[in-house]
Amino acid sequence: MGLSDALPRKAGELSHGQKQWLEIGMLLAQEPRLLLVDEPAAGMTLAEREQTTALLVNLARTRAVVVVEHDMEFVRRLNCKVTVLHEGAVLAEGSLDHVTKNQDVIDVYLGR
Amino acid sequence: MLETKGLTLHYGASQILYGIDLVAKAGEVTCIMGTNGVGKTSFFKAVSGTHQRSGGAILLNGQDVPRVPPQGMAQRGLGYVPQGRMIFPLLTVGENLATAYATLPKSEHRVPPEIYDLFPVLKDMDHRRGGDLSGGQQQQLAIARAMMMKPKVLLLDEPTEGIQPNIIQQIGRVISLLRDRGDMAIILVEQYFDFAYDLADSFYVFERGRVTTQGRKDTLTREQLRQGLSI
Repeated sequence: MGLSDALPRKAGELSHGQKQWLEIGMLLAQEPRLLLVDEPAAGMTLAEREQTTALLVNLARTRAVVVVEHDMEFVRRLNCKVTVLHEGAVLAEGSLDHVTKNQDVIDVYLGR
Repeated sequence: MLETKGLTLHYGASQILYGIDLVAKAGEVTCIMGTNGVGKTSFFKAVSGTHQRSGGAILLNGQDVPRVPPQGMAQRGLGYVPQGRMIFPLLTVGENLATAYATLPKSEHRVPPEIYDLFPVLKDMDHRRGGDLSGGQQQQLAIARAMMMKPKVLLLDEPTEGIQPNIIQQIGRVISLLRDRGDMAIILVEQYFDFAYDLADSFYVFERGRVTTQGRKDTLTREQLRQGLSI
């Protein structure tokens, strides 16, 4: 998690990114087979976001990881299958390039 | 216009802000950037009276503002959209908007049609509880609630955080529109670099409670600003 230097510190003093990594680390201690991560990039700096994608990609080698995220650059770096939900149903599924070209996805989610 | 001179702030014994000089003009978007924990939100707390400054001055349209509680700042024309939105979860959308009436004369106790023009989803959701809205809808409600007060200064703390792309674009359009009216000073704290750069007229980069880079967009290129942020 990159937190070994921070072990003696109080959790509340950590940066926002470090707190997110600590949360993920606390879950990993239970050795889960499935890891659900809800908007990890929110509020992170660019450097923290890059570190987080590397971490999640690494974790996904030994367990299933499901990430909910709005940051498309973050999703691109995860390089994974993408499912777009809209009003409780699957709207599109596939690679990021595939779903971002889908006109329905553009209309209800991506805009422009 | 909002101006701060030598603004300092402490949390107990630890000093967070070290003499912030900042000017935010009406009709402009002033953007505060910087990594986590450098004092951006603390600056908003000091300006909004949510956490009282320990020293320095705040001027609204040239007038010195004494240390007043947040409701006093709201009455003086300061609108605040906090990070995390702070919607009242058990009040309906309409009731959340109506909380702004506290700063308005009785004759203005209604939701201007313009609010629903800008955020049509709020009209459809009028009777829903704030806590039942999605993150993007809550963010729109928080901006609408601040606009209800007809503020002279609008503080926006990370309005794109955790929001889906098309709603981010909509929020960007609303901020441009408010800027172009010319009567409101908008201060934006934002991590989403391109969103911030495209909207802003002037920039302040914070580092450990101090302003380390500042400038207007015509003198500060995207690359210079990125360097100032060391990202």
